[in-house]
Amino acid sequence: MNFSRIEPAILRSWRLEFQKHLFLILFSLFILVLSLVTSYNAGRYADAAIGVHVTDLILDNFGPYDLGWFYTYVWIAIAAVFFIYPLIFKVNKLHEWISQFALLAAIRGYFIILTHLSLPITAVAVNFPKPIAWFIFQNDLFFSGQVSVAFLGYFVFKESKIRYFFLISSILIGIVSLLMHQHYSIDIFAAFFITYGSYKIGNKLFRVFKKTN
Amino acid sequence: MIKSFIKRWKLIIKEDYRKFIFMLVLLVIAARINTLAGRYTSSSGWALAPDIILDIIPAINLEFIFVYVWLGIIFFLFLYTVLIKPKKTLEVLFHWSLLLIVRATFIILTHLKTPIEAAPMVFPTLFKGLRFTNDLFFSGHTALPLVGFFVFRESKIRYFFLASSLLMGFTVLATHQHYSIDVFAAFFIAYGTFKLGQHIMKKLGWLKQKH
Repeated sequence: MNFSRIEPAILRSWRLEFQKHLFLILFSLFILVLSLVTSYNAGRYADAAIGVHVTDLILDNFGPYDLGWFYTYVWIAIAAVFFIYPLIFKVNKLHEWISQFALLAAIRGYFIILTHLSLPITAVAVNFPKPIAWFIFQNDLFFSGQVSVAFLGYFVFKESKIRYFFLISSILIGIVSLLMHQHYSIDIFAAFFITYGSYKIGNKLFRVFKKTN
Repeated sequence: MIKSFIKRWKLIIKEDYRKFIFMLVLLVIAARINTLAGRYTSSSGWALAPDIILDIIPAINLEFIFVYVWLGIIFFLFLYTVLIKPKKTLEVLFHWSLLLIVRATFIILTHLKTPIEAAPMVFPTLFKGLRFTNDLFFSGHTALPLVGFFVFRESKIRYFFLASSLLMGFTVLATHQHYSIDVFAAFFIAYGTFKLGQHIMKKLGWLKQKH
């Protein structure tokens, strides 16, 4: 029986696109693994380093509030959309988005080892489910990874209306992070700027991907 | 030469005098906001943080570069714009103002203290108003010259401003006047602020050329 005869056209088109970009997708996954290893070690270093608690204009005046479910599960959902959406609908650009994510994670890994601040003493405890919990650290504060991943979605999906979902998500996650005292204010506000810069650097670095499309 | 320079400026002001008035008002407001924010950060002693770079490099006194070379760079950027590229004056002033406002917002947020081993830097009397303590995140010394790099991106002079920014970044770390995140984040925030400024100027119809 010839499977391709009964394969729906939409699935066939997806499979062909996936096969066409398979090498680039594998290459971007390789970059992602390198970046995550770097990020993981940076997180461990940040946790081991002796940091200080700092006062903060926003944290001193608001909260803390326990919004743990939002902070963990809504963020996991947002991150899942970040990968599942292109996997299903934009498979020809999946490698670009994985690479952008990897670059952002690498830049963040670099920043979190620099200046050693400790999680605010008033921070509400959060529990991420495994295996995500293995990648969650205490003192990896500057800059907020959650805000930046969501905000990166706004740029990488700029041709689609889903970008507004990511923009709103990044703002909400930023507010929730501050209300839960999981980050200092500069971690949140700077995340928007650094994400934009990272995206622009990624656009230059990964131009070769666009040429091969 | 002086006559043609004055004639050129007269034409520019005649054409854009409303924009110049607006720009000067904005710059004064930005400077005032920055002063108030600087006073706020100077008023309290906050936390000292360990830092991977500062813990390795001992503090060096580079007061001359920190004070005089930096002032020289800022004046050079201003004079270069006014004398050589007068049509870019509005743009430079706008980006400086925006950067000052963004920086003033950032410095009041999270309260770090200037590293204790940082050598005191004395500005000349005329510029003492520019000097505060604990106004750390993000480095204005690094960010302000970058405006020249971004605005004059079609000219080779941009490399001078980029080199100036890198020199200042190195200097503020070597003198322990800033933490590492203050310096490295300054590049990203200056770029983001510049792009935001370009967007606003385009919306206002102040930018004719493509950026």
